[in-house]
Amino acid sequence: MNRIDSYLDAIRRLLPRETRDDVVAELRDALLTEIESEETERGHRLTDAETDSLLTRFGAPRVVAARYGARSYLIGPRMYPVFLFVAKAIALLIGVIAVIRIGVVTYGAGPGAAWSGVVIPALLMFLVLLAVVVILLARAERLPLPMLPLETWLPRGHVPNVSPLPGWGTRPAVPRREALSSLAWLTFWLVWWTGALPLGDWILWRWLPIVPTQMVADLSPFVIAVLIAGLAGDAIALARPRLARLHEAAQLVTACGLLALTALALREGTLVVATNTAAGAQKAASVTNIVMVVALAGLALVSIAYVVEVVKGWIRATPGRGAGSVSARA
Amino acid sequence: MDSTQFDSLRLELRRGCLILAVLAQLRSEHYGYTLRKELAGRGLEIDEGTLYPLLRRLESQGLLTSEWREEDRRNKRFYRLSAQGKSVLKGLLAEWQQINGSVDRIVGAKRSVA
Repeated sequence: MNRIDSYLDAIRRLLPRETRDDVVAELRDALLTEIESEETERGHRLTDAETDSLLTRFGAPRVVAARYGARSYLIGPRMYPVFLFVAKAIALLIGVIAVIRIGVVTYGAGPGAAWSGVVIPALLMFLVLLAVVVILLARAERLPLPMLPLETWLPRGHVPNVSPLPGWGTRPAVPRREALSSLAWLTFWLVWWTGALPLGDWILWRWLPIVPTQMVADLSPFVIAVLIAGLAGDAIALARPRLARLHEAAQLVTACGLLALTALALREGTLVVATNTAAGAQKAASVTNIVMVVALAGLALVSIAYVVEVVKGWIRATPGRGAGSVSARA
Repeated sequence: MDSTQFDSLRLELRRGCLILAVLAQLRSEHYGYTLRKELAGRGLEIDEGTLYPLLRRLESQGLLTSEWREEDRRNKRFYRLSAQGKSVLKGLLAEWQQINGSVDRIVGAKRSVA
């Protein structure tokens, strides 16, 4: 392979697949014509150094490819809002877990142990998860799917127009960003519960002297079913954003499932137990139980609010009922 | 003003002018190399790395048409102004003359004040 071929090959690799042959054919002709012209002018064949000089003037392959619109970023404007949201969510989650663990470890073994046993692993975990998110979103950025339709963006509320669908009433479409964020969040928990990746061990159980109770393990199939219902709702929202009612129905099932799970967990009261009889472990178990019960109570309140809101919306949208119906507005 | 700043502003100033010059030059058919030489011969140097992507962009906007044809024993891509390009060029030239006149008047007024 000569200089020109290897130069063009370097550009070709950076160009979009659909245009690369055409662009490279044109660049090859441009280069060869330029070389012939210089050779005529100089009266001799170009030396390797002279060819190099001409290629340098043409531009570095990366620069030339970039001028043809070749993508040189991992996460672009389509996926950046999702990246920001997920990165913040991961930071929050790891931060909360780290704070709880710092408290427990400091109480048991002092601040030095908390630094090496909690802060550094938490930072490493954050970086690893961030890297995974970047890889996934970089792939999503390159999918030929209108995942975040920037082209149809509307200023008012960032929500596309309402669309009447026979049998489903007139409802605003579900914002894709919201659905995508929820999908990422539920996927995380599904991976946690199914044990597809030992996220629970990496993030929590390995670092704390506690384990979930048998009741939590027994509820696993139910938890997984609820998470799958939620994922189905988000998948509907992504694939068919105008089918808002169907999305709401799936989310309603999820919310009711969460309520039932929360009720069972709150009735039980003890969700984790200490792995040993040391005072630090017992303290960690009781603090974690309190935090989990408070979190579940909050989740129950949010679920109740969601169910009430959706049911009210459905009643309002029923023809001939409520102020929000089409006939009432007309 | 340092040279980097000047170069950056100069590039910005040239960008719009280059589009106008390329469109105007392509009222008659050219391939990349001859177009570049024609422009350079009229005092407007443009490097290959700028010209070829620009031609492609203008074509994708419907302002140019192109076809591959053999000349001098090699396939070359010939560009020409499209019907839409002709109409856009007409509007841009009018705009250019208006801007040129305005800048001349502004610069002239400054000179007379100075």
